[in-house]
Amino acid sequence: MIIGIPRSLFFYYFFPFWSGFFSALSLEYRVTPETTNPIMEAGATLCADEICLPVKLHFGHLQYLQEQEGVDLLFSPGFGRWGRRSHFCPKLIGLPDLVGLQFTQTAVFRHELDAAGRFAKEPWLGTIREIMPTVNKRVFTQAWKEGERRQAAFFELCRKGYLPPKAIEYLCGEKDSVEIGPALLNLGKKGKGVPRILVLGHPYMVYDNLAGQGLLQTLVHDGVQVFTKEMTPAGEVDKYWPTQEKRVFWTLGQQILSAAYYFVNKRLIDGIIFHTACLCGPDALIGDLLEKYLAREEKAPALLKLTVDEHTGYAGLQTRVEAFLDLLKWRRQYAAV
Amino acid sequence: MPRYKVTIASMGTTNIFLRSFLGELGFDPILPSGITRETLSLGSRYTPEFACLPLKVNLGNYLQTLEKHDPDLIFMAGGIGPCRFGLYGEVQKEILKSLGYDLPFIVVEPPKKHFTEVIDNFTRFLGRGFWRNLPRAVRICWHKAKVVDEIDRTVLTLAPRLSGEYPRKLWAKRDEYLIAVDGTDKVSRLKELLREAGEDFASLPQNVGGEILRVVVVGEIYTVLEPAVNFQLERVLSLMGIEVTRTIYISEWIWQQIILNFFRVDWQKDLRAQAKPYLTRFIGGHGLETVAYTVQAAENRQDGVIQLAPLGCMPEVVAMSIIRQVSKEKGIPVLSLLMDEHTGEAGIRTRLEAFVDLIQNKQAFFKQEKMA
Repeated sequence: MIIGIPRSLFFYYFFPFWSGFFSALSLEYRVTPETTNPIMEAGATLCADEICLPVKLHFGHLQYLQEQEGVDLLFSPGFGRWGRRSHFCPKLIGLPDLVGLQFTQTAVFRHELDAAGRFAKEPWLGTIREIMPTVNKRVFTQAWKEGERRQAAFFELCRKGYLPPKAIEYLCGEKDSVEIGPALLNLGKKGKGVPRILVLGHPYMVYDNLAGQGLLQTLVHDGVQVFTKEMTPAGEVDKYWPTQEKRVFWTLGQQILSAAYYFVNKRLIDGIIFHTACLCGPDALIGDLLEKYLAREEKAPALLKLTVDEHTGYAGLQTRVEAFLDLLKWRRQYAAV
Repeated sequence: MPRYKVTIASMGTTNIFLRSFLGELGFDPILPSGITRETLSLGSRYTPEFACLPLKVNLGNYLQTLEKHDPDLIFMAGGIGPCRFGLYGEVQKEILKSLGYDLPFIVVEPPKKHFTEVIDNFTRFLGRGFWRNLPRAVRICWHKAKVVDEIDRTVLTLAPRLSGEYPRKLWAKRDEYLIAVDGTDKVSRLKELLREAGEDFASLPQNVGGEILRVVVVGEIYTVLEPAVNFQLERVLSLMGIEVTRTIYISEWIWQQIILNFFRVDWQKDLRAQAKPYLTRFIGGHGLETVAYTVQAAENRQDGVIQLAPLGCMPEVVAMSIIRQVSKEKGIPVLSLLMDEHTGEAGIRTRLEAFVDLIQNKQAFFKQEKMA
């Protein structure tokens, strides 16, 4: 039995858990390659126009797996709660039902997370029993622990500033000898006058090969010191979030805002790039709240909102990023005068 | 305590009973002057591009009211997600603040989870004495909502059965009765009005025989209830001779969301069961209802389903993909209309007419087949 895992949605966030769990169960898995144009086009034709880019990419990856020889089952993640009174977005909650309309050979794995970020075991146990009836509770618990161990190690690497794709390669790669390479923090130049930029966005946008449009690489190449929300220190995630404000009930949205509050209050950054998908429901409002927050703040960093869909071209994006970097430079010169 | 001037956003007939509710509680209600193109363009100028239509229209309402009057507060409902509506209060507050209007919002969160918060909010602006007014306010509000919905329900069933010019007259009468309902604050008068309306409507001459096409309207609550954003969809269909079944009535919604939820009655059980083969989770908003009512419509041999939603509405986009499948499997025609500030009346009208043609032809086709 081989299960096919799509490199989409929360792959760059929860894959360490998935891989740890499946390898400990000795369940063979195969992962799709990085997103390519054909994958995206396949996804776009399978979905309604009004669906956001990440979900379209998810369908594309599943279609890719469907066409592979030897893949018996498609890994179809579902998402629900994440913390107390907090959720994923409605599209991700309804995702397995949408996937079920197009693909028949799927195994639904529900991600229900508590406030500490631990998964609920029951939905996984149910699905595993269906596809591997021989698995007993003890084996399952061991596999679960392995998954959690890898996941914790992954978050630790992210906080240190390693890029999730690199960290995943390092933690879950076939060979033990994979080099993790330098952390993002050490990639950019150090020193005075180097622009520091926080890239905010959902992991499936920022780290995806195609949706991300090579934004991080472009920034690093231009000598920018790049931060992401995954680099917020563990204990300080909510430190600067004003308690009187209503909390956002999408956990990713709250993480984005909290990260902005943290980096702005610590004065760690000169600019923010808000990287989002066209028709992303939560981000439409989160982006506006972010904008209004920065407008209130004294000496706030500059904000660039990048909205990407399946028609976005690399050149257009790069031009905007270059213009943004120029703007940061002028701001600094102006402040010096 | 001063009498605070409070304003609300417009949503279909809700103004009628919210005016009484807020007035009886001890506020001075200022109502929006209706939704026009102006409201839409004003609202969408200051809201994020991909925000949903209700947010834009609401903000347009507030801005138009703020230009002419000087309200002290804004009253609106809240939510706990995952639909975006729950965050409207925060976003609107921030936008108004950035435009120089710094006024407090009373956001009534669902009382099931935020009971004390709701009470605190009212006490803050009404004083402790508001308890004394509450029963009367709730009573009049509830009766008004019921009467308005009852009139609408009767009109929707009756209009396609009337002959000649009478459907148009019926709708005109309906508007008159709603104005009368709006004008009274006595429960006895409301009951009288409902009886009068019933008799009045029944006296109109009806067609005998003839088959009537039946269409179910499902979707997101705001676009279903607000005729100004759905271009009077119900009235248009009704005047084409189609019996419209609306699946959302505000009095039912209040009953479910506030009373039943508060006492933890599981009113969604049947809906969940109906939607289950297609949708297994609660996805917020009216997503579950849309799927369940579409399945129901197919089982009840209705002639078609029209789904109304704002563009980019997350629950409804999921539901839309799913009801297409329901349509395929159960053979019921489905039309999804997604509205935003650029939607034009003529475009919607054309699509509606095409849809009506389709279901008419379908019916004629089956009749022919039966005869052959």
